[in-house]
Amino acid sequence: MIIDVNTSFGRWPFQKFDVNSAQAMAKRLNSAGITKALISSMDGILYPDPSVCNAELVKTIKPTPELIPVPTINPGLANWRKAMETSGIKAIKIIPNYHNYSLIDPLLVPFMRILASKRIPLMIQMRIDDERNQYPLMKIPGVDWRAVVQFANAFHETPVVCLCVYRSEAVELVQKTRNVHVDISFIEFFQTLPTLLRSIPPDRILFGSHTPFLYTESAVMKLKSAQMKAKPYKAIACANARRLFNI
Amino acid sequence: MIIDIHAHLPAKDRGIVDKILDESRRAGISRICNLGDWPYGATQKQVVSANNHTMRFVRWRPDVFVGFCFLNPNHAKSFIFREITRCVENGNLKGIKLEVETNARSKRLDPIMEACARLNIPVLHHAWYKTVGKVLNESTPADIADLAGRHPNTKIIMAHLTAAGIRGVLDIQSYPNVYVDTSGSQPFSGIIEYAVAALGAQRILYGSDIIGRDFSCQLGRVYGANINRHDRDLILGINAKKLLRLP
Ligand SMILES: [Zn+2]
Repeated sequence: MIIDVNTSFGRWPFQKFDVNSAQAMAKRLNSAGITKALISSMDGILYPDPSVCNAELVKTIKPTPELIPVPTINPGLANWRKAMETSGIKAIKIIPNYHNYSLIDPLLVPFMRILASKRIPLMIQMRIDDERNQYPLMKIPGVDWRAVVQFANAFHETPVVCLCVYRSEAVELVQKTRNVHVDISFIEFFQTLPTLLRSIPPDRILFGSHTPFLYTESAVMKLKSAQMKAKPYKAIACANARRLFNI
Repeated sequence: MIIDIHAHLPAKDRGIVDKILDESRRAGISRICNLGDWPYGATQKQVVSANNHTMRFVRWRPDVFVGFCFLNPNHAKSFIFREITRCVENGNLKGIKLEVETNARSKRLDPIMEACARLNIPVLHHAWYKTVGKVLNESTPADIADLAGRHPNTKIIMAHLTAAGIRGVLDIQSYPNVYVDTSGSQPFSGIIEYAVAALGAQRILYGSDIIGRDFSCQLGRVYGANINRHDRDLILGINAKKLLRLP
């Protein structure tokens, strides 16, 4: 069983996707061995009010219970409190670099206070793509891992899951905090997971594929080809996600 | 049959090379093409040393390793020709590797390209459309197209399909002597399908860019692409076998 903590649905100007319905998305993930996935709206990355996109996503994925919605919230917008009122939220995602605020901005203090009171984990989308390959007139640097360390330590009661981190960032983030977790979608080196496990413990690593931006099979093969014991395998594949998001 | 056209074996760490052999066997990869391991701005001595290592790898495991001769086009023509004779004509290497020392538009490449045409061996050339992080003289796919137009009788393998992107695929589309390898960046979806439609699968070669990458993740993008089985087999090995004239 694999739980994917990093999937998205919608349209993106720089790529065309062949998964254009919730059913197609669930089928794609299922055929790769993924039984449950946390999913966000990719329209909410650029559309000025992500709450509109969150609502659309919830409607779209209604027929597919294996897809669990993760609303994207921009704490810099006046309506962010309202956007958090929905019940049963498993996690909340922020995209600081696309939504143009810094993690050390005081506007995050009330936001994080509410998150802690509701015991909702936070996902930080560190980047969407490889900065080297971005459209030259739309350069969006990745979120600075140093700011994440400062932020995560300041709000240490809330679990933070950083999505699309590079290996060196993953090591720094996990070693310098107690509450940051990382997904494997952007982490790659020869023998990816055994190498990573030499630097950080398995309970801080989650399976994430970044589907449909990336080919789902790449993350699945990284996990399945790794020669490791059953316990860390299970932790990364699903147990950590189950625990963190109460799935 | 799977042939990895783009690998960098660490010259001085046999232990890691043993692990690479082990991983490749598990992944079903039968042949690995080593492109060498060299510093930027390599001296003549460093070029000789890199090529000696590659030839040693091929001598050690001729059933698995294939190798390319690394050259720095800034070196004197006499040295370059000596090295081609030593490593390809009298040695066991099957192609030339060019990196970023000289841009593909430079006339310094012309004698090398002519030698490759005469010996009927391919050149694997680095290319990337970089928004950030571009190094001096680094070639783009448009530069590769210029090179291909000047040398229509030399076969060129352009590295890094994902880094070339759609624009790069279009750059080389009308140059039938240009192939592209699947390595580069994260396994972004859609680009293999686009390249198969634009170039035909017979011009695409699987490459991992190991040791900085992982076989699993890199194979995942080929297995994950929505292409037919025949095209997949061409990409994974049949094309490379033909191009390298392997038994
Ligand atoms: Zn390379």
